[in-house]
Amino acid sequence: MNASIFRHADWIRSLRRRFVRMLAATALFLAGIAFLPYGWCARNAGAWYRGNSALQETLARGVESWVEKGLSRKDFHTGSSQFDGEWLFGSYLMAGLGFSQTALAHPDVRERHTRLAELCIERLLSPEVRAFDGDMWRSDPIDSLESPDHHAAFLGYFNLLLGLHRQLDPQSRFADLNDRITSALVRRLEASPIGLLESYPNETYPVDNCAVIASIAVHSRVTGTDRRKILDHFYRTLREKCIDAKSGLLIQAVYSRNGNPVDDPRGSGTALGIYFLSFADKELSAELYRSVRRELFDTVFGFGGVKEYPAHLKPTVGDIDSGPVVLGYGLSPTGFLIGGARIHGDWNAFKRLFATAYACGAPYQHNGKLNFVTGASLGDAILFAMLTAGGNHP
Amino acid sequence: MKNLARWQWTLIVSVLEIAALLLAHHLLMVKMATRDIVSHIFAAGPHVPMPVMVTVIAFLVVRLLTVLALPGMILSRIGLVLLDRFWTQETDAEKAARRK
Repeated sequence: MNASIFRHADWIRSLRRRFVRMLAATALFLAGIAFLPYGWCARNAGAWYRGNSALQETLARGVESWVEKGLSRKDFHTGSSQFDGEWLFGSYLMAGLGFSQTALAHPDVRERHTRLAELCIERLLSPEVRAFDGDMWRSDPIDSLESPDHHAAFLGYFNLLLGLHRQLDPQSRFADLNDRITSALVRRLEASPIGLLESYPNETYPVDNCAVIASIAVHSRVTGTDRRKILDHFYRTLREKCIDAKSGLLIQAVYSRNGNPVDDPRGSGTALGIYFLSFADKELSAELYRSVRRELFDTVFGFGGVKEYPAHLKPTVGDIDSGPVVLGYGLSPTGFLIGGARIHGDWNAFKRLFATAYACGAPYQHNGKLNFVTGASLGDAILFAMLTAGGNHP
Repeated sequence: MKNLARWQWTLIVSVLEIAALLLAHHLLMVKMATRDIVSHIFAAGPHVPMPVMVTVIAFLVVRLLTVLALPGMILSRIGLVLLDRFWTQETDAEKAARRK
């Protein structure tokens, strides 16, 4: 009888101990998830936000290793040769923008980073990189500057890099090319019935046009050429045709024929547009930034994320523009808005977005170089451009 | 080893678990540093060889566990060690069963 009572008491004690252990472990585990990861991942956000040159240099060296080694379409595996070509172009372009921005921001690295920006320009000029655009148009973007083909997918972005290089080096050996491309873009914009350029035949993307107008604005500043008329006309077109009245976000794509929307207002296009427009009209860029902040930005356990679609639209699993969409949050808009947050001085959003980039990007520092493992060359280059954005904008 | 107290067992197992996770994370980081993970994720499909896809998924899982769950794991394990050490004692029967 006594033995049975003792066994029962032991069993009760054992059960209570297990319950308390499980409860304590679960509570501490959840508390750890809720409060610690964000703080850990955001610990360097302040230094990045302030433009710490040592940190920027580690990422610059990481990007430099890709650029020096040289990339090809075979380095990408999107499953589409066209997208592989676009990513190859994007890697060199964003790397070049990052090097230009850091060269303008830090006199001690100006010479070296200007040389690296030049290397990016040379790589972008190679036939292999130009092919993604040439294949779609059946004409080369540089060789056909006198033709009516728009080539906005290549020329706008590339010309912006040429303009920044000219800002760094007024005697730039690419100055003549910069003049010729700018003239072609202005002429094509003036001739366009909808005031926008086609990226590819019958495909018009407002975000690509933001890069076009950014390149014209930078060229205008660097050379002193008056382009107010075309710039103002473009801003009016963008406001009337490309910015969704309900959400204030940039429409992802419009019909080439009449400028009517063919896609929804989306986070990826708007967040990237904010970055490019900041080179031309900071106020318009700020308007779009405020819209993204209001409609798409949110936090989960402190980590910042940007949704691909506003609340009134049904989210999808994502596409090549948005990247994977998880719980409505897009990989691309989240990465692109880091630049917007820095350009527009939004420290609260910056640190939260940075924490997400740190958690998902998997930064790996080795031999004085920083690479974001998940993003590879394109991810490194995009984050380089976004994390160093804003220091030299008008 | 059989004479170790429960809290000591908890401590050893916890340290080994956390070390294993950190080691796996580091090894996968080094392995994946030169791979283009993002395009595999962007366009996962039949064109991606299965071993590559498995490695990519393993890396993502370990990365998320390390960044998001590790702080909680460490905190909960510290709590368990302290509980076992100072409060929740084993019954004699449990001790005997564990040492068998």
